[in-house]
Amino acid sequence: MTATESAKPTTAQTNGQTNGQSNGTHQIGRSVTRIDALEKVTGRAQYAADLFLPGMCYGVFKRSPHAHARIVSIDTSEAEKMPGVVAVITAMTLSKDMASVVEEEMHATRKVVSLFPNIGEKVKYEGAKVAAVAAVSREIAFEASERIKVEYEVLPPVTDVREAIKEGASQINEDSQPADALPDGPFAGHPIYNVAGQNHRAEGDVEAGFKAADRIFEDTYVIPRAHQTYIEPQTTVADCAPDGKVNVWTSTQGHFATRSNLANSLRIPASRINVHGMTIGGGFGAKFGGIVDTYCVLLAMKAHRPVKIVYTRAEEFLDARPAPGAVITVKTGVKNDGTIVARQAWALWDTGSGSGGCYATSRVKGVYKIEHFKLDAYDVNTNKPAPGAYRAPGAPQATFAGEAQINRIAHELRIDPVELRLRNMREGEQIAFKETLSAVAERAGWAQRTKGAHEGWGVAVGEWTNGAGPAGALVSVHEDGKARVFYGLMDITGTDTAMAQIAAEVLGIKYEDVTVSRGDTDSAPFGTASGGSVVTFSYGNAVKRAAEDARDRILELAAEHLEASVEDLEVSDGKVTVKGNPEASVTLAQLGQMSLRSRNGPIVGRGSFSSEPSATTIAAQIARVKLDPETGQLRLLGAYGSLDVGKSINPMACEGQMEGGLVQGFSWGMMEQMQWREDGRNWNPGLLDYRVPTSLDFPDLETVMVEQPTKNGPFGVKGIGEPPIAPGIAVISSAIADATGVWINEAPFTPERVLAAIKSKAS
Amino acid sequence: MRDFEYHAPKTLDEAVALLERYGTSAKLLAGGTDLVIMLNDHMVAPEHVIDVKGIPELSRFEWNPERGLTIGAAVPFRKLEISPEVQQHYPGVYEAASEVGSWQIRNQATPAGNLCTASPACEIGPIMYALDAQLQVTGPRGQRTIPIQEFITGVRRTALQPDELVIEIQVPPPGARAASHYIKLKERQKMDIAFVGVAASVELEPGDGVIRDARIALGAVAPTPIRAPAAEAALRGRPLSDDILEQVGRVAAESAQPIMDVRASVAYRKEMVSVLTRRAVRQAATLAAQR
Repeated sequence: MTATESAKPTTAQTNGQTNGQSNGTHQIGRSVTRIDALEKVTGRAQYAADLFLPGMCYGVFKRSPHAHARIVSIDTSEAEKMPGVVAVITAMTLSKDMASVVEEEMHATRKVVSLFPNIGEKVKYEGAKVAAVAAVSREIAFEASERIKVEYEVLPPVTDVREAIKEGASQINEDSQPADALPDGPFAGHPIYNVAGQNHRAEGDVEAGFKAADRIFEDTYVIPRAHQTYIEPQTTVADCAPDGKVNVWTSTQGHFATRSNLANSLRIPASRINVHGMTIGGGFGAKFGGIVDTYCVLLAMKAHRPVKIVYTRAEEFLDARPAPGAVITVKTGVKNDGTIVARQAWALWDTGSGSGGCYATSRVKGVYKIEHFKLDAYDVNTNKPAPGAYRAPGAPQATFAGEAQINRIAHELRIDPVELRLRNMREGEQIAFKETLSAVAERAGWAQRTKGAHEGWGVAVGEWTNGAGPAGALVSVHEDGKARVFYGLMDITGTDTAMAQIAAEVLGIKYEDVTVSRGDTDSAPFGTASGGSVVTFSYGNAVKRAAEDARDRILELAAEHLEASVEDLEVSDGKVTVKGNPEASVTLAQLGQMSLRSRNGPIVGRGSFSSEPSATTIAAQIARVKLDPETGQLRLLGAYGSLDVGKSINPMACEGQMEGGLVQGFSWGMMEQMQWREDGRNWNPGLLDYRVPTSLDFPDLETVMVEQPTKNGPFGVKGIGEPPIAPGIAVISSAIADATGVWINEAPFTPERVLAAIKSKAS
Repeated sequence: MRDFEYHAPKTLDEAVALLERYGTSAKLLAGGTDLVIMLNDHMVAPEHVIDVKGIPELSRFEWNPERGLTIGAAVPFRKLEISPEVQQHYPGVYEAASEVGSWQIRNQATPAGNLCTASPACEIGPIMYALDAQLQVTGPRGQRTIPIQEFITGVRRTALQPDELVIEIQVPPPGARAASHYIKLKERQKMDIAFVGVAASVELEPGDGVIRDARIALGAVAPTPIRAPAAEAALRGRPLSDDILEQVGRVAAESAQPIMDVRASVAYRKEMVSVLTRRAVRQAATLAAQR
């Protein structure tokens, strides 16, 4: 089926699919082995930390031990005296025009914050950078950082957004003006302090909508901050040549984004910066630069030697860019038949010392036809690190609020929660909300579900629309008849494999006969960063166009050789054949050789893509849980997910996205939370007490793909990396409610919270 | 990690001589699963690290019906976990050993090393208290035997002198109708730290279900693992029943002095002591009745 045909979506169960063999024609829709599998499992893939340059030094940060304090003095003299120390930088050592860092993040506004606080300025969270040291060994650098003396005037911290908005709370960003009081909602009537951003939206007339409703529900949901916990910490190596050329090897989701950040921050031309995107060990939205790379370049410039910085896991928790937390109140008016007539939300997003959260509040509306909708949302400063993107940024938080309440409404109205959703879901071209929810319900046996003692079932959906961004690609066919793809794509999910499949499909060759190379920013055509589920959609179009361009050259050469017209030729199985005359054919290898002597030279196809709209997809998920009524411990008995992928290029990779997102979402509901003490210090800065699940915490996951093509995606592709994380918290909360009869509105649902809920029901 | 000198003595005498020479500037290395993390995090910065894994006596791992179980200081948890003798005679030790870290960690980490680290949450502590284990240690002043309850003296503190090392843990043989059990409360199925740990060792009178003796030990609810003597007394001479278990759990919870931390509140931990004590005693008694 082609992308432009309107078609009924199809579903496919992906579990255990072993469709790894080429059928000789189609290279897309095959679960091929990842193109980078061997280099990764054999340890040959080069991550940034694997790089060792001659004379390389190590960078370490001096960090604030206080959550909120004013810098009185900084004395680096003892550190500078230490043998082996090659550079010390603070706010005072940087020239004014270089002392800023641009943190460019996906889905958030571009922010400019200073690299270090100067004397008289503030540190706004524990672990904030005050200085950086480079030395010939990591140990000397650490020792030197300990010898930097910083005097602080300690200020009272604020860690809870509900306290931070009150008059009299510590003002974290001193230039922030209080926002006007709201007329309604949980924090009405008072100016709102520590506001870092706002989002207001109104459709229809919610007052009228609530008047028309039979029942009105209002609930407040609390979601903690979560860390992306990518396995590879933030890492950069930088080297500055005497001619001013800056080379940066870094763990990034977008090396062009890193280049522009560095150019803006350091006020040096992009042409003097070459960023090498190394193999990445996970990013999930947190690796767009600014956290270590800028500092690393500054240290290398000052030291005149290469410098490496590798974050520790503790530094990840203290001073990276975890997801924002949120406190969201949702009010929904419904008819007795379950029709949703009005919905209103008020949200406070915990964005630490930065901003970027409240924009996601509109996802409370979800995938439903709601005539009257209104939201008032704020980013609120607290003494915590600024937020970054985390897989479908803001969606898990807002979806928890919206979907948990849908489940409670269904329960109160005695309507099945799947049925209630089907009654209210939007329909339209290129979308398959109902089909996707029905697919997972069928897979899980929802209609026939039974439960034992202390068991419960939960369901929720989450929506997402992939973004798109500019990307260029080259596809060349060499004298061996095999193809090479060249571009600037940072592969974070297996997309190099998908691109090889797309090129192979267009060229009529096998996936195995395509290699893929990523260039650094000096060599590759521009490519957008890998975030926002843009990659397969955007680069897929670029690679498809480049491969089509190469195919045009192949056909031109073949037409000349076979003395046929291009319209009469077909390309498949590595050769070009005259239609209806299999004897008249020429292989791609022969054409590749001929091209070298041809008038127009070697076969090089070019493809570029800028941006086109995609269509909304949803992830629908179901969980079955069992609770220990005496301890509150939760055991997942079943986990099911479905997703509208548009068109699957590689079913195994799609399955991986469905599973990975589901696990991260469920885990945010089950155990993940960053915690802070009353004095503002991070309470669990490590993987001992910031729990992420192991495979033993999950049953075998069961997933179903739905394929409702989008017009603009290559072959109908929708971007699918992010949506499967969205429903998770709500799925778990409703499964617990089904087991206990109690709705727990604060995530995660720890054993202690679950037990308290069980006991509240009993008493 | 700061630089240090690495020593790998081949005999106990060599190890003792090194300890005598370097004392407080040295750290002992067995599995290294605690020490290496502390080195990396700059929690300790020894000038000398003495690796004891090459000393043959420290790899002794023996079961004997008269003397019980001997666990050399360099024996890793995994050996306990897969030992048929441990599974048969000390089911609580099997449970505790299999709850430590991951499979890889258990191949490396040692029970003796864990006891020397003396974390309040360690899995092996409560079961060793419940089994009345003792530690054989040696140093320049000769060998001595320290009962487990005197060995751990506080949070990350032991009775071991800076110039001493543990040779082995000795666990007495269980009685004819005795068995043990250990339960760890955690949030994650594996690779989690104990929010609360409870170990119970129960011996039944011959021929019936009356409890002759019981030892109950609690973990992660005090600076060290602790026994719950009042709960033990409540069990002695009585047959097991729901009422008795209810009472035993309640009394055990009263022995606990937990703190509130990032993992759990005081009230939750106390309540879990009660729940886990009931479950551990019931399971130990059930296993004892089958012997």
